Amino acid sequence: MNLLVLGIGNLVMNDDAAGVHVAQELAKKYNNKQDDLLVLDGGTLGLDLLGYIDWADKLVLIDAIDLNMEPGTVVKLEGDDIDVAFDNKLSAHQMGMKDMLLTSELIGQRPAEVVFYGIQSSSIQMDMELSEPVKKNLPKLTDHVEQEIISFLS
Amino acid sequence: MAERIVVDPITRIEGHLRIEAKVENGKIVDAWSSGTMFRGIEKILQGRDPRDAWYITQRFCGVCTTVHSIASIRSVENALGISIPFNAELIRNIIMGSQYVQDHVIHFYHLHALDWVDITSALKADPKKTAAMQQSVSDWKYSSEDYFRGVQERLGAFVKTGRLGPFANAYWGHSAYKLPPEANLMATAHYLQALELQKEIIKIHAVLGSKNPHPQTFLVGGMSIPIDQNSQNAINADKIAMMLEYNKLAKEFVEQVYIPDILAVAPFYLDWAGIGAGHKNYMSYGEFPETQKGYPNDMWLPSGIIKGGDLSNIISVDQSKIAEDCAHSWYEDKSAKHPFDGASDKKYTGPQPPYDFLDVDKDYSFVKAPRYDGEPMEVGPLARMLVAYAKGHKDVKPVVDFVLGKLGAGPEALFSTLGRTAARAIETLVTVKKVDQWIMDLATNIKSGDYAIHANEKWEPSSWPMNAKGYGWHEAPRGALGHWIVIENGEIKNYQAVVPSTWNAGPMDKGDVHGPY
Repeated sequence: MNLLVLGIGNLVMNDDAAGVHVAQELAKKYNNKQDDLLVLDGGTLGLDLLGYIDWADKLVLIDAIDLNMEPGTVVKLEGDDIDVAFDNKLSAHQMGMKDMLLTSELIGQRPAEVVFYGIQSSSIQMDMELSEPVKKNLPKLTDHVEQEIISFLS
Repeated sequence: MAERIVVDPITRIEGHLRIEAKVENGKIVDAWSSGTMFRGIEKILQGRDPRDAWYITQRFCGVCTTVHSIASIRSVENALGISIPFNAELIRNIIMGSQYVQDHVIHFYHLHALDWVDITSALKADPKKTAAMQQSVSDWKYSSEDYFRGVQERLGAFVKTGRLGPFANAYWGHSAYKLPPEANLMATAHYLQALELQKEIIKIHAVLGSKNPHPQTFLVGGMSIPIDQNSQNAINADKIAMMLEYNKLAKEFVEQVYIPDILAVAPFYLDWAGIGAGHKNYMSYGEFPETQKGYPNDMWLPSGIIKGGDLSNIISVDQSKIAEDCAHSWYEDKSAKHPFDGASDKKYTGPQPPYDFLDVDKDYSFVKAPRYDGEPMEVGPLARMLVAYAKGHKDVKPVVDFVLGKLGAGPEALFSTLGRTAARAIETLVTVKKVDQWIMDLATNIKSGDYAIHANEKWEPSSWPMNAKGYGWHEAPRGALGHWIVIENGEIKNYQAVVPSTWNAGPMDKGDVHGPY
């Protein structure tokens, strides 16, 4: 069974980068240890991630979300609720993650288990700084994702 | 009474493109194309090491990253007079060729086909008739009634839940869709198969470039991937076999699915062969050097320019005749400049967002207006195929004639929207066959004992002249791409990229002549 931990977002769009930061941190700790675990910075790629999603039996997604909650709020979504997290995402020039998941389902390659960890964003402007509330709660988000990895490894 | 329609953003193109169209009595009478985003990567490059430029220029585009590496290293090699080993030339050919195949397949099936294919109509198709239709057009393995019933059921389940995903926001059921339900189901199945295929073919980039997107093994002077039969981390017999296998999958798909689909769909949309011609000026820089002489000698796809649709007169391309003006672009300097002298100092004078319309009498785009000898040029697969066709190309001409014969049309039908779509498919077919040959050529050359992959005599800046200028051209999937570099004291003094979408989507020039869009 393969576990893919996939952080997505744009590094130069403030809080949108949250998922990428988490993936980069956990990648240092867990990558290149065993063949069935991969922590990946997915950046803003869409279709190009299909090969990785195809490989995974379990997918843990990490991304910034906008669900009108208190900035920095960390949420876990499963099943159909995951689609909601992507509803406010604009992807003008390529397939977004939501399309990607639906597409993988259409061609019969959606991982059997998909879990989503999100953090409510506060600022999505063109800059590299996370907002204070997101920066403050990022360790919490990282912890949740790391727990998924730990339980996979045990 | 004129009305203005705005489409923003235009998809299928990287960056942020906006089209404003003027409509009178239900017909578009004029239209303007605007690039609404400035990124300034050319400015970021100033003062940097020319050998690093290829890595940064990959970020010009979020989709076609590889192509900017090729153009960049070629510009530096041109400036410094570096010839690269034949192995490196062949590896670049394989990378570029597989990029054509992947990009064209995605462009047709995932970006373009839904303009012709009505997904919702596919739900009404008879799977048995669809299977018969599939079996009549090719020997493709997925052709059973059960297979098509399965696709239809999966699709139906999706539509029922209202989760349309990539199929959302289309004009389903519109009368402009002309395919019968069975053809729609067949094409929908191919849309899904193409998703699967495109991720396999591009693994060739992972083999040769270590990863995709953003391959890592380019190098000014050649490539950085070693050739060693005894190493798992180098190009060896296993890697050659692996690449042949990926390309075989692609070849099967192109021959048995893509080309038959074009031939099956085109007859329903023949009226599209009469619209969308534009200026009928086409330009190709030429691509794929095939002999030991190296780039830009003995190229498989020829360079040339066609003016006003005249296929009897192919003009040779002279880089000194290229200039970009900013008469309608948001830049400080408005005058027409050759790229060596081009500047990237923006000066936005447009409306503050949110706004309804751009003032197209003034400046309205961050894209400049490139001209060849003062004239706009269309670039892309159609331009390449037309230049090759007009020159009687041994691989291209028979396929073009075959397709035209099937559709009962003459070469003039190529100057159209349908012609562009057909040219892209034809190019995919001829290229996927060549990729096989380049992989075999590489194997043969290695077997002969040639392991050279990098020419390093001019690697150190101390071996460079104080001042150097060069240009690097690459026929990217989307068309003629050029990078121009000015080097001074080992650093980049000026860098200008004129990309396919600059040629195709640029605004009006100083004479108010539109670009090809």
